[in-house]
Amino acid sequence: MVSSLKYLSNVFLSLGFLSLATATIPNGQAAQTLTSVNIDHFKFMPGVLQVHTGQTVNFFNKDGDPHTIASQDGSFESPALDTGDSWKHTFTKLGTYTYICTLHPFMQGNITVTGEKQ
Amino acid sequence: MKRGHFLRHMAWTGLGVLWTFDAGAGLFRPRSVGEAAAASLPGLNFVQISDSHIGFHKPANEQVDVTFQAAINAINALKVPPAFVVHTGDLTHLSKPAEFDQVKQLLSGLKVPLYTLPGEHDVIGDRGKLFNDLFAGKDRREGMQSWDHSGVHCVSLTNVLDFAATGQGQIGQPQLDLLAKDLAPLSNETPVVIFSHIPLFDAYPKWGWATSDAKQVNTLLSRFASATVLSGHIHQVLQRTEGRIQFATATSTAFPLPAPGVGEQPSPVVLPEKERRAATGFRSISLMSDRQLKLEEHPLG
Ligand SMILES: [Cu+2]
Repeated sequence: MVSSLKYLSNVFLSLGFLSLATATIPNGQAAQTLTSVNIDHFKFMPGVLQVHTGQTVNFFNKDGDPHTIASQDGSFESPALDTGDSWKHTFTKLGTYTYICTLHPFMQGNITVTGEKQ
Repeated sequence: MKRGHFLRHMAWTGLGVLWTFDAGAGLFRPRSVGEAAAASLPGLNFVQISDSHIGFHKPANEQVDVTFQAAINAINALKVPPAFVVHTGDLTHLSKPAEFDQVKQLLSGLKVPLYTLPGEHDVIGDRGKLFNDLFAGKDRREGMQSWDHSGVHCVSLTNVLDFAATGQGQIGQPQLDLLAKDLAPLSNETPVVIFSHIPLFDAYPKWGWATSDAKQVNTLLSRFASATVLSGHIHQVLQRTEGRIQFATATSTAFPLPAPGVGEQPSPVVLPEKERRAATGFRSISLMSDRQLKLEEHPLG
């Protein structure tokens, strides 16, 4: 519980930092906002997520068991995430990605990548 | 999960009991060890060990290396030495190089030849490259390896690299084609033993405890008078027969998992040490010259 609270405050801090940084970029680059998927009780939460191209998703394992994140098209695969581990992936190509945990392949999630944020 | 449920389950799976397969009735029957000694001479005697999960450090078993070593010592001390040992996967917990080093070191203590196949915990992030570098039999192709001993044909399959949309294990067509070719020259009278990590029968599909293309293996096996399929993955003994094919899953040397569907998820079951030892172990298998199959469970405590 303590570590997940700490984790949440880190996310808020980095979100704050990033939006500040984006605001100072003069040529209108895409916002590099960080989005999170939490893993708990053998579920990806949220299980369905929409992101913009260039956006990074942080997968965080809050569960007591290890899990992985592997796209079914083979375009991304995490190492094993044990309790408290996290892994980031930046989505650069449009499309809908279905991913599973290779240790528990009944665990599935979906991420849809839309165009750049205006 | 509630401990009561788990123990009740272990009672029906019968750890510590000798099981024989009655081909006439199509059933496994428990027998006392005394009865077994009077039966016909074994044609082939070997050991199955599974799910050592070296690298696991959680309350369900803080010392998986110690329990694995205990299993190896017990195998080495068997009165009738097995012809070989098959480890049916999940040698390591998280496919880490240090875990592979440790499990390889521990397995080097076995006094008889070893065959291995990977579990999903052995192929994380590299589709099994490290596992293959360390443990590949020289004849493994498409994840399949076969060998003969005492007139029995043995085949190990890999079903942990790709998963069907349903979350079940998958053997894949290239490996199935290779299996068909491998079995083709055998007479119907040749006893066949197949090894896999994920069960080849529907143990509990909702938790992925099944293999999506296992039916094709059953079709290939259906002509044999004696066909046995031994698997791991679910850390408990379950037995099933389909036609003349006999299926059995094995216990882990590390920790038990819940009985199918008991509890929300397949997380390690935490038990007091004495009960955990009774729910973990290895198995010896005898295929008698009259094709009778005997499975003997050896709990660690
Ligand atoms: Cu998982």
